[in-house]
Amino acid sequence: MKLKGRTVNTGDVEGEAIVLENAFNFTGDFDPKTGTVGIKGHPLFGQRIGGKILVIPTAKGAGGAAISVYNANKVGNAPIGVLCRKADPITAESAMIIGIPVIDCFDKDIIGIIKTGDHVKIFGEKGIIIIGD
Amino acid sequence: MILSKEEEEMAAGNLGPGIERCIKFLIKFGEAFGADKFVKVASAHVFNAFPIDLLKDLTEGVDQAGTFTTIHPFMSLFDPLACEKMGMAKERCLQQNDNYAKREEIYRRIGFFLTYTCVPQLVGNFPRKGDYVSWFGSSSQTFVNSIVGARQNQDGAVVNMAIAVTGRAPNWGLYLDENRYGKVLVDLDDLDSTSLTTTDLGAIGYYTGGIAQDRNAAISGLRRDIFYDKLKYLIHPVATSGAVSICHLVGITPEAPDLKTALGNKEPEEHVHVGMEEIRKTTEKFRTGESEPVDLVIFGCPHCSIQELKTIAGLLENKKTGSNQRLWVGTAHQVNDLAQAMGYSQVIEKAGGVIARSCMATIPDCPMPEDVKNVATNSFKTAAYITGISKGSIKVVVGEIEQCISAATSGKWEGED
Repeated sequence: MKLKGRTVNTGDVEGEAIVLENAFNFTGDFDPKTGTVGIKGHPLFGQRIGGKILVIPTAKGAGGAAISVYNANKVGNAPIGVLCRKADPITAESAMIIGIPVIDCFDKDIIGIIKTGDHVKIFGEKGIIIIGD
Repeated sequence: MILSKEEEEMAAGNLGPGIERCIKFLIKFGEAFGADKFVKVASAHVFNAFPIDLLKDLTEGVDQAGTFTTIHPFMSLFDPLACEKMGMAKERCLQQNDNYAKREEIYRRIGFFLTYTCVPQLVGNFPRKGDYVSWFGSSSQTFVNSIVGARQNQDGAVVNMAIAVTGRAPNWGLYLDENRYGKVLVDLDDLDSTSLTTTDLGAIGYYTGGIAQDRNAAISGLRRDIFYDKLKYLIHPVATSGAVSICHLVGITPEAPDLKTALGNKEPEEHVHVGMEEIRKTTEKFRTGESEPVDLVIFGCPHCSIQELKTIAGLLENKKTGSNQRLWVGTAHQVNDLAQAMGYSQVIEKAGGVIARSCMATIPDCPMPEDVKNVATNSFKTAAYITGISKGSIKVVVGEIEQCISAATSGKWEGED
């Protein structure tokens, strides 16, 4: 399936998706030391975000979130792309500093469509994603 | 975005690679959020523990900061001048803080002032109403937006650094009039605001943030003569329980001469009353350790003013902290210089207190000394952070300065009754 969105930050990547349904907190919900989901009790707790395409409605977090993403990226623990309903300043700043694509405002709701484990291709310049092989 | 001639030169690399990287980053960021142009900022206040390689990149070739810039505190126990007294070996502190000397070198070169405090306004960084600024730290952001009426977005550390280096910020969000009005009205009409303690004000702030979440708030019913040292305990927790960027105080703060103006002539989206019952319940949340021995007392979130250091020293005169009690006081070293000249710091230190240039809220982020199981503080923000970061394993009790000092000397928490 092909979806069209708005390019917040450009870049072409492909990889496995990890989908979180609630507003993602880059300070508390992400463990930069392991690159995994750090939400205790969440079904995806402990699953890797590092090296994957993170799919979220939007994000929030403290002002230092981008620093933690930057440090995580140095050891391969940051996501390689972010897809969201609506990009927020924290996601945009974090993605721009490590140079990964962010696409938002899709023509359909990505949270219902993309499933954890799906293979996703991002064509950053055009704001297009392809879900599945 | 429409760029001025100078901004075009920056983007073309004519002012060096650091400025070029910063302005290009800000253009990309600004365009993602609909900014039409850049505005010049009156001041910046930046995160201290910036990764050294990123800092080098963003400041390469820069010999002068783009605006008046001050620096945020060390995190928790990482003040190299205080770590040992707080229970962390200097070696370990320097190891985890390894690039602090290299960062200082860069900060000195480009003229970022080594203030190491979360209260830039107490060390000379004081913008006017309507000025555009970029300050790091959720509480100081809310403070400068609300109490000063300068304009501030919730900039993250990197955007904030790029703004400090270039002196330019994308014109968007809370820089624009239409985004600055209150949406959630908290009224204190049922309260006698003459008798509110600092703890009560903290509870009102914490409660307000929880209701407003990320919306602008307006509080009505406060007296005009509640001054900075008390008001700050109301403003800071608003950004702890919620992500509130503006909290107008009707009849007090610059953009809220009256309720209609504060709300932009609109009805509030939500209107809540706060009375003693809400205050009591909110305070109760941060009294988990009230019946247990207090091991540590923390002041300085936000960093103590000179008047507060005077009060603390006055209460500690001829007293000593208990043999099992610690007392940590966060303040700017510039304020500490003044307190030394007045003799306050000597009294506090002689009584067993430690004065540090660190953030007093994020303490559990680094290993808390093992004997600390219960912390008393006059700050809701500290109480909430310690509870949150330690996941409740460290208990807290929030109250007045006098109650905290009494706990520091006796180890026991004295209730209000």
